[in-house]
Amino acid sequence: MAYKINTKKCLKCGLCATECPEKAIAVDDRVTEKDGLVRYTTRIDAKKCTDCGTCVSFEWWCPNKAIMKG
Amino acid sequence: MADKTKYGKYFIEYDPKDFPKESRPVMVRMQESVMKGSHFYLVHWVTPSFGKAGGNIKPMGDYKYAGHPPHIHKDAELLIHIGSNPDDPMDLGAEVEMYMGPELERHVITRTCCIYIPPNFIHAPWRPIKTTRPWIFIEINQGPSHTEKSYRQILPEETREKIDWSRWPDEGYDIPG
Repeated sequence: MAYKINTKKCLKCGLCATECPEKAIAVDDRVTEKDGLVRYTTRIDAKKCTDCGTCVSFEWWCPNKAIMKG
Repeated sequence: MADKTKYGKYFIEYDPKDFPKESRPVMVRMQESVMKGSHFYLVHWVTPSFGKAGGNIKPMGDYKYAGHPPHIHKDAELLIHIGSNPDDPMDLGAEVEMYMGPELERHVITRTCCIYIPPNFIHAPWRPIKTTRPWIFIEINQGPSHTEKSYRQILPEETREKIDWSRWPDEGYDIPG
């Protein structure tokens, strides 16, 4: 698997789980904060990821650019 | 405006009854539900009382990061600010604060301009700080309906606590899992 989520940069918005064309990004956990914001912990599933690179091909695919090669 | 002529249906006047939650002085609102095939367009006046206490809409506050909180849209967005000074059309007649990106980079607009917002790009808070002459705001979403997802997690905790979040609901996003 060529891509990873930088957990220090991740805003836990969950958007990547909706956008991956291979459905290779899974939500492991969700937490609702006191003002109603839901935070998601996501993970790239190595078995499903095809290294297609869609997740890094568009500048704002991840709004905080937390998905990177390597 | 729509009449019984063949093409009268294409002349559309904004009807506030169609959008009961709207409090801004809207002139035009177009979207897929109003006319099949239309993208989302919203046009409204901004007057000196806009967002201030005693104005027609709820006050936006005057603390740091007040205003429409940070968010993204699925589609690209154009935020067009048009001044009404006949002697200088590029004079906005107002100061508008806008923050861009996850870093909350601050900008103040005083000139007629368009802000381009790419899909998924975090933008706002947006807030008119001062308006000396009414101006027109045009919001274009390059998609059939308005979508919005909050990124309030980038705001300081003390700011989040000041905001009535029921005013800024997410629209059009369904996160699996």
